[in-house]
Amino acid sequence: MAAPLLRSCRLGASLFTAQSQTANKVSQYSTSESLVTSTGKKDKLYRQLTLEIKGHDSAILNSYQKFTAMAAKELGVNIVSMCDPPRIFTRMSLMKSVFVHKKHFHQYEMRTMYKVFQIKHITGSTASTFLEYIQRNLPEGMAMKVTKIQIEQLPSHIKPPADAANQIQSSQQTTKH
Amino acid sequence: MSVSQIFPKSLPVSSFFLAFRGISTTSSVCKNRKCGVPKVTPFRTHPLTYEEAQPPSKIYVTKGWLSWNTSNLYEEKRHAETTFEDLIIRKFMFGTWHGILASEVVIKRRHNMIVLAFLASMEHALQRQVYFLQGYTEELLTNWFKCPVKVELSAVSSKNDVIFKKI
Repeated sequence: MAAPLLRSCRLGASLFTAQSQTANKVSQYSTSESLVTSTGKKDKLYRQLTLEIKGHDSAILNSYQKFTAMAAKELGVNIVSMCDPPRIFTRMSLMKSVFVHKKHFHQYEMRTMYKVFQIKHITGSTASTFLEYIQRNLPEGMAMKVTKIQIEQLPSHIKPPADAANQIQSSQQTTKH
Repeated sequence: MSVSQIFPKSLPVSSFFLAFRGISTTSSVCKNRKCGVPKVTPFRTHPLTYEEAQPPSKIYVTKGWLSWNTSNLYEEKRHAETTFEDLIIRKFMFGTWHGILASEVVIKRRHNMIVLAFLASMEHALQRQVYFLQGYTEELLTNWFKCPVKVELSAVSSKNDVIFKKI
């Protein structure tokens, strides 16, 4: 059981020095795998978070991108890419007259601009804290979609073949010496 | 039924034309009528706020929108519901804050919350009336729409303060 101080999520700080090979793998995350939450469960590990944001106004989107980048920098969250995918204009044509009077032709359009932020290697507690902060500051008229890719352990009924298991065992023994 | 049955012959001819003058049977003159652009009065006495002074073509150029929501974004839902709710809110605000509203109501939605922002002129309203109306508006709209509604009003001393130009 980890000390209660370390149990809370430490944003961005690499608190733990890797002691074994397994610890090395998770050292890129903001908190260690060995940490357990207050409910006694292990913290989730997300390989990638994808935030898709859309809005009508490009100025507001740019401002929000600046805000998110700043928040991520301060909190030490690793944002790997921020891109703006092609925008989509939905057009509605209005012509009251069936045939003539083309002068009165009107066209309305609804513009949708996008931003996509990608965050790599983040723990569950850090992700929820960071997402809550940026979602609470989401301006009006902007929608956000979050896609999380979580790392799961293999189910217990799936086991590697006997040869592979032996190889893993032998390699672990050699590393211990 | 003929005309002679409706109008007895004893009546003068002018009354016949008078009765039928209101009906026009000619085709309408299809002039290009602009909506949202107010007409100039003879002596340029009609006051306009900044919002009213900008024509609809200037939206997103010199003025913003009055409804901020996500329903009109691509692949989003609730177009009709949001629009209709906004309509109800505007009607309600016009009646509830009658004579006090000094601007249009800006309806902003974030998450499930609706924020109403507008200017209230304190010319004919007491402070306690405004406080009451604020609570009344929030309480009623919250119950109707089943979501938190907040009123964020700014007070101006009179409607003269918000005149942008006179036409």
